[in-house]
Amino acid sequence: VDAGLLGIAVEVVGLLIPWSLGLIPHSDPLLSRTLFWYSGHPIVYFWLLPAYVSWYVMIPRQAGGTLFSDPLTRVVFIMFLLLSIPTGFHHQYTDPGIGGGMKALHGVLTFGVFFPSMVTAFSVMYALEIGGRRRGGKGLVNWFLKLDWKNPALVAQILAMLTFTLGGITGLINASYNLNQAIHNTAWVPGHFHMTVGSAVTMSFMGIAFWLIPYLKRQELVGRGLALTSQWLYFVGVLVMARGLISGGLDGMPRRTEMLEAPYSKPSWELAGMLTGFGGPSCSSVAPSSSPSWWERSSSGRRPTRWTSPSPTPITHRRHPAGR
Amino acid sequence: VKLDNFKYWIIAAVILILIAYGPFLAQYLPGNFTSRGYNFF
Repeated sequence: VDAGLLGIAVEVVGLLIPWSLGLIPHSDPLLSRTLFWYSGHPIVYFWLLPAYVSWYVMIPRQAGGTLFSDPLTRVVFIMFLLLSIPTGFHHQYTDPGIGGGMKALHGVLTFGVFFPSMVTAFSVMYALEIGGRRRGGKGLVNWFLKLDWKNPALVAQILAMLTFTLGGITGLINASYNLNQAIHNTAWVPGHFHMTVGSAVTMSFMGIAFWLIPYLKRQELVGRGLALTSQWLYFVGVLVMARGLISGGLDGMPRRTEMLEAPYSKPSWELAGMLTGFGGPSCSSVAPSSSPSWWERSSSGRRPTRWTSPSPTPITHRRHPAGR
Repeated sequence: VKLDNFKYWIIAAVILILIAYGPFLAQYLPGNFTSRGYNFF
C-alpha cells in the first residue's frame, strides 16, 4: 500500500502544493499524470483484494466447499504484489511523451496481472462446485443451482463474481494497446468499472456485511428476503446500466459529459442513455432495501448468527482431493 | 521457493517498478519538471 501511494504523495507534495504556493514556476501535466496513475492503478487493488480475500476465505466455507490450493492462493497474492504497480501506463495509452515501448511493456504486465484473476475465478468456482455437489447437485450445471441461494452473504458474492467476469473481460479491452484506442475516454470505461468496483467489490462488501455485522453484534439479520432482493436488484440494475454504457462507448459516446446538453449527440446514443438511466436508479434503490437488514433486533440467545451450511472441511492447509 | 519469503518478492516488485518507470522518470532528473516532446519509443 505504501509503495503504491508513493506516486501520488510525490505528485502532491513535490509538484502540486509547491506550484500552488508559487515555490516552483510550473508543474508538468505528463509527470503529474504518471505519478497519479502510478498510484491510481494499485488503488484498484486496495479495494479489490479485500473482496478477493473474502472470496478465498469466506466463499468456500459459506458454500460448504473447500479451497482448491493453499499454495496457488499464495501465488495469486504474490503476483498482485509484483504486478499491481508497474502497469500504470495502460491508463495513459493516448498520452504523448511516453514511448510506445514503455506503454507496450506496461500492457504486457497488465495482461500478466489478469492471470491471478483467472486463477481466482477457477479456484472459487471449484469451491462452489464442491459445495454444490455436497448439497446433492449433479451434472454439469445442477450443482450451481443447489448452492444456498437463500444465504444473502453468499448470494451477494456469487452475483458479484458473475458480474466481475464481464468486468474482467472489458478490462482486457482497456488494457490492449490497440483496442484501447477505440474506447478511450468513452462511456465504455465507466461501464467497465461499474462491473468491477461498482459491482464485484460493492456487492462483495455488502455480502460481507450481511454476515459480519450480525456476527459481531451477536444478533440475527433482519429481513433476509430484503437482503436477497437488494442484491438481485443491484445485479440486474448494474448489468443494465453497464450494457448502456458499454454499447454507448463502442459507439463513441464520451464519458464525463452531460449528454442531454451535448450538441453533437447522436440518435444511436439514446438507447445507451436510456439503459444507463434505468439501470442506475435500480442500483441506487438497493440502499433503502438493504439497510433494514442491518437494523438491530433483540436476540434471546445472544449467539452469533450462522449463515452457512455447516462446512465439513477446514478451508486451509488441505490437500487437493485428487491427492496433489 | 518459499512462497512466504516476502523479502524476495518485495525486492522483485521493486525491480519491476524500476524497469517499468525508471526510464521515464529519469528524463526529469535532476529537477527538470518539463516533459520531452513526443516519444516514439
